Amino acid sequence: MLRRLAIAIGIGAVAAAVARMRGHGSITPQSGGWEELDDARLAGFGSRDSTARQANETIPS
Amino acid sequence: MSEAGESCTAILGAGSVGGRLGRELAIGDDRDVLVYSRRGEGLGRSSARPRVSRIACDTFTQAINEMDDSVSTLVFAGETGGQAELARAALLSGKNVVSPSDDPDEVRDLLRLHELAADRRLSLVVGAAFSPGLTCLLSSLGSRRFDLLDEIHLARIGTGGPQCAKQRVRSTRLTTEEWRNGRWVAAASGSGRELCWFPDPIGAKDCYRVASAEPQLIVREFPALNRVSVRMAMSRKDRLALPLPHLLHSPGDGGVGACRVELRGFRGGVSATYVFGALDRPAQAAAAVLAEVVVGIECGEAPLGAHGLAAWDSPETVLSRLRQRGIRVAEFIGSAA
Repeated sequence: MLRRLAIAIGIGAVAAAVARMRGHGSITPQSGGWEELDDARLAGFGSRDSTARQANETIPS
Repeated sequence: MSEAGESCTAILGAGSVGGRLGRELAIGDDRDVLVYSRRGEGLGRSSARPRVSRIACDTFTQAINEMDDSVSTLVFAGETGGQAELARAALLSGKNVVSPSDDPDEVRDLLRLHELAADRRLSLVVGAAFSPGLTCLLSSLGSRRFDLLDEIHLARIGTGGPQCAKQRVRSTRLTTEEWRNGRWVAAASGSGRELCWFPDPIGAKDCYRVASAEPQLIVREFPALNRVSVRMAMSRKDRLALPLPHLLHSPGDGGVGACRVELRGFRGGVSATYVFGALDRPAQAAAAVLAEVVVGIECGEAPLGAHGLAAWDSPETVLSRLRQRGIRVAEFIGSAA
């Protein structure tokens, strides 16, 4: 009896571990792709004067 | 050794990053470099570069004490632990300091040296590597797209060398701290599974929370953010091996890695999300970032005091120069289905 109980607990623990590792939720496919940021695109980000950093600094935390 | 009047850079550690950094500075920037390694750990790969001198020392503390005034910048490229004390000694002797550390406690200790560094008009650059480092530059650059930046979520895959792999394993065992709604919230490392899309060919990987210094470095520059998190890609085998000793478990040691920065906020009154990333060998990318930081310090571009790379005024310039060193960054153009 105890042996069967131990086996059942063992199987349950392994199943729980596998389920945790598998995680849950679904994979969300994305459309689009990666495009390299060359010098021209890097320069297009503008200056620090208009950054969100400054906008953030004006908001009380 | 350096010629009279010419400053040189000292590197503590001759491992995967230290060796590459020495070559980057000596070849690419034509600088004199002293690479220190502790006796018994080897001097790293021998170099025929006349501008790289390899020196064995008993301790790094002793090495700093014996450095002459020609050393203007000191770079840590060895294992984490004890860098704050070494940085204090270096700052007291008038040297700028660069650390690639990702250990949250160590980075906290290093950032506490801000007053000391600022008072002496020196720079202490913290978290200057692939991730953190390149990710901080991408965060700073991407922030310019927003009227109001609300969240930054970082993810990474891969490790540099053995010391980096060791730190990554450690980061999966410590409690992680995330920035949520203006305060630090503790969370278990290894939790919070999220599918993150890295630059091709790595693609989508399951990522989990890890303890990292990146949130500290980001929040320091963007204190009004609502959320900052860091995740690392781990396979099922990696997760299963987490409780095992490091010798038996070294997730993704070496090879190609990637980092990903997702910024969320508001632009033009509507919510917006931008994703940036990079694909490279983490050790090579870290060496390139460190070299660029050393050059930036010498040129007076680095802010005084202790800061991460998100504090640098001109991330686009640094990223452009990194392109010349072969480090390419990219933006994900598309939409979530």
